[in-house]
Amino acid sequence: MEAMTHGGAGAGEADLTVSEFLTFTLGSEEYAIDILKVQEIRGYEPPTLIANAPPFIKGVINLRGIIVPIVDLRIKFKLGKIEYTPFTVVVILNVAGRVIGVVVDSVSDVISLTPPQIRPAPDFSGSFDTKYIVGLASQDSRMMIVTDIERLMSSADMELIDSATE
Amino acid sequence: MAKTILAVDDSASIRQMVSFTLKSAGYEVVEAVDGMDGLDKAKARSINLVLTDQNMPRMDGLTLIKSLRALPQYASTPILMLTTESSDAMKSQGRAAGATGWLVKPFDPQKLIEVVRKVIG
Amino acid sequence: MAIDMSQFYQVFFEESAEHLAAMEALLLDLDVENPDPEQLNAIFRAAHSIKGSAGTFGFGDLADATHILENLLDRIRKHELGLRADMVDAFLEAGDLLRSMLEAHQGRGTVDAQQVEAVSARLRQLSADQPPVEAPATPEPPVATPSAGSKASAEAGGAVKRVFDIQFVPTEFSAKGDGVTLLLDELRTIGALEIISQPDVDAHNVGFWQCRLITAAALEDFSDQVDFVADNGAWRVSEDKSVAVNGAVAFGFFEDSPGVPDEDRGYGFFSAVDDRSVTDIAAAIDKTEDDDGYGFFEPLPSVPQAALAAEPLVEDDQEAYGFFAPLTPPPAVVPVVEVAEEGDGFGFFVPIAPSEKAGTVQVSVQPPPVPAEKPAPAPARTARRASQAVAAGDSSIRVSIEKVDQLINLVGELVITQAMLLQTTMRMEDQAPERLINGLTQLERNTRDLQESVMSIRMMPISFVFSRFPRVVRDLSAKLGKQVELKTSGETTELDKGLIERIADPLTHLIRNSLDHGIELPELRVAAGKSPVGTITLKAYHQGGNIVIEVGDDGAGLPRNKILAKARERGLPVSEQMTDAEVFNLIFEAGFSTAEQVTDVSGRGVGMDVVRRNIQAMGGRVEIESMLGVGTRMTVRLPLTLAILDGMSVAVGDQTYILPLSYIIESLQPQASDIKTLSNQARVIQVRGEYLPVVVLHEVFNLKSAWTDFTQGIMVVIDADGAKAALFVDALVGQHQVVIKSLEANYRRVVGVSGATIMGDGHVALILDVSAIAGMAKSNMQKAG
Repeated sequence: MEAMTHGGAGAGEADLTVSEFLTFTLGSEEYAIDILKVQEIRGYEPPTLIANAPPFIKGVINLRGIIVPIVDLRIKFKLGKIEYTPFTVVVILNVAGRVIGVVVDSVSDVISLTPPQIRPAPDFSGSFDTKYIVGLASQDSRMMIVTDIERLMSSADMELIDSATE
Repeated sequence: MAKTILAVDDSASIRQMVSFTLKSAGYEVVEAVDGMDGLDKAKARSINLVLTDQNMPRMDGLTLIKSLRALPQYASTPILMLTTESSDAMKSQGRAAGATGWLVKPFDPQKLIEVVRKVIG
Repeated sequence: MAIDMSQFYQVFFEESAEHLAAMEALLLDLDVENPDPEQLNAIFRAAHSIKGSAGTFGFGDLADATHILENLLDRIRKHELGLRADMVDAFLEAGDLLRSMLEAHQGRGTVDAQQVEAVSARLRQLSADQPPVEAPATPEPPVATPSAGSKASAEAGGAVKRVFDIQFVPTEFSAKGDGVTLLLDELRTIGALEIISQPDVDAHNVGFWQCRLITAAALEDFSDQVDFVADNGAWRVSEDKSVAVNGAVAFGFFEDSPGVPDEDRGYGFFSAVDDRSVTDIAAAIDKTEDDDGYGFFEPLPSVPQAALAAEPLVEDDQEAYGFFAPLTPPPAVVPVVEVAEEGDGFGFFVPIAPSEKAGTVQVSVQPPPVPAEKPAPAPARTARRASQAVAAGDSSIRVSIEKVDQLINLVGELVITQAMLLQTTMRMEDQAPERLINGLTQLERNTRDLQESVMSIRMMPISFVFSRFPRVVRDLSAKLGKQVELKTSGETTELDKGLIERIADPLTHLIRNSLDHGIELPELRVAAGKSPVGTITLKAYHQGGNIVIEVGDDGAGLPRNKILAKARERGLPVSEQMTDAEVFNLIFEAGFSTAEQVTDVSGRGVGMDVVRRNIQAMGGRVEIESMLGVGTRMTVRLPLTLAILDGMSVAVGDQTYILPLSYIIESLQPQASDIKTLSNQARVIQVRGEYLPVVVLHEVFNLKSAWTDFTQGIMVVIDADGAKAALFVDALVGQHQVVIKSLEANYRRVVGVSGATIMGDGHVALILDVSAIAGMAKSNMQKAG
């Protein structure tokens, strides 16, 4: 595996810097997020409800002694059928100094991308605001929406953080 | 076999400094918080050199020196008084109590190592 | 090898702060008329310790300031000066100054140089028989003054002192004449001269001389004179810059003002024993006796051979130490008393009391025999039983709070894991091997004990907070013209360090409030038939899983009517029907102040509302009792720790919530007839004649209750800061000690929830914020008005 550097490469090498992305599906769309933000992948277990939280915040679970909020992105972005099966997956993220779990339909794989492979996204793509979208990438006829998951999770939209900044 | 030094001082920071300094110089260091504690620790193990402050709660340095000298195993162990009191009276009392020498506080770590090396190598 | 001293600073800061706190407490406790010598000693020792460490770690300003203080304290403890009340004030002020200097060194705030000077000057002035101007601003180095008249060293710390090492071999002519003597006299006029070594007395000054001169003068000011007596340039003067670094100038004794008997004045052995001034030292200075910073006594055990051989120790001459070399041919001269005391080896002297004139005696060198069964001489200051808090703990280590907290967290995890195992085993019912169940039960006990002892590491006595209050009361009562006595009890009651830090401010505010609003002016008290001196009582004790702290006063009490009037003025919903407790609680409302006039004490800035909020934020509550003319008592209840909570778990729908046990008064199964619905759908329940607002938890949390009517569930009566309410839940599940986890670490604040915990089955349960929920009920009621 090639060594990865993040932002440390010179301008000339920037194009050759390979980053790895975890891809998952939400409804019919496929998303790619920086693998370095992913802590682990777990099965879904019913969380403890938080009263009066928005519907996409499912509640909190105990992750080895840490209280972790669980967000169902399918609800948030109104995608696909919302059902919880033994195959429903929770991606545990480490973003903005916090541990957050997101529920997705399924996790596909890990892919490597270089910056040139990520094309700017047209304004209308994706289910959510383009400001969280880094770009689009395609591989073997798959189209993936490369997402700045950290920015998305710490946004006021997600209602996860008290004083979220836009 | 590293030589063991007993450092008796009620000031934690001085104790820490002395201890760190002497350990860096390759000595073993046993710390004690006052004369009483120092005496207990000296009885509990074999010490090659005692450094003691003078002014301490429970038992002062002079009393410690006298008490140590009264023990056969410490009759001829070097004992240095650390004292801010560089007065002759204090030195004289220290000498009378059986101290080997004195070192005036404040001293720097180098000085301490130098003196200790002179005494126990 | 360079040792980075900064690594020891933190410990130094901590211990100095402790010394300052101890010093303040002792000072406040001191009986000025009849001071306890032990206390004086302890106060002196605190200053002495700070000075010693400050010097070592290079905090010269602290060392200097403390030195002045220490000096004065020393004279008081030696009864050279009488203690006066204004001295205590000055000492307290000095303590404050030192504290701010310490903080400045830690990067908090700055120190006003003028203030340092003012405090120092005041302390110096207090040295009664010492005119303020003449006192040196910096401690003098130890000085060899061969004649009592030589005061060259008393130049009041003006010019920078330099240290010169002077070595010379005088010509025979100078030596046998008075050249050398003249040179020495000359040098003494420009500074402090120490003779480090000189030729044998028999040699009539011929031979190698070595001196140290501490002077403000420059080399060229005296080099000619040295050259004059030394043969063909057989002299060398080098400036010793290391000495200042070693602190040769940063320690020593004040050359006290004339007339003060001072055993430190004379230099050399001869005055050491009594306080005679020395007259003819030069003739008999012990050859290697110096005051260089360290030295070795001889003939005593264990002087290194190398040192004995060196004669004189030229290599050491620049060092702040020296050896007592063997007193060969010319017999050394030592004070009789010393011989008498170390006389184990000699035995032909009768011990002489130190007060007697010491003669001189010749001692021949011989190895000292091992003392046989010699009882340790009883020291003047006998070691006291460590019944005093002043004594350092016999053995303790400092551990960073992070480490302790990590340990607490791990133990918390262990408790949870153990509970999970136990629950899983219980579910197996008959299938579970008995040995497994027994083992797990045993494990439960062990983990509980472990948790308790780990928690206790963070526990500290509340005296850490209480100790600041005598000062607060003293200063404030003086300011307000009131006479107040502070009585404390239960100082050893322990609570968590985190709480200690956070409770200090609210308590300070409560005490100030009692002083300002509670205790009346002396004339008013007398008019009311009370003693002119008011009393503030500060009490701490454990009650259940809480610590209770009471702040009481025997003052005027809270004026119900005035509070009501004020509340109306402020537009608060009040009525004459309110109970006293409810009325008194109004003073905790934001912006409420009953001060007749705005003082700088209270009635402005932070109010009691902030006090209550801070206490609640700690999971505590505060209550008021008061009687007009008799006094007021504020009672603060806090959990012992922020990490564990005694909770009652309740079921609501399919969820479990934890209610802190400390808020629960009772629980009951309600009768339908007890519950009434008010006009705006708010419900109340009658409990023992009182109507309480009902908070239906499943409604509040939008959950489906298992029940359709109230009589099937449970009402839990809670009391949060005087606001009572009944929470309706499906069922009580059980009581547990729960480990508090933060919900906010990865999520935001949730109204009505104060934290989370992990139950035995691994599930998260939320801990309810009872005060907030009671608040909801209250506002509902008020809407119902």
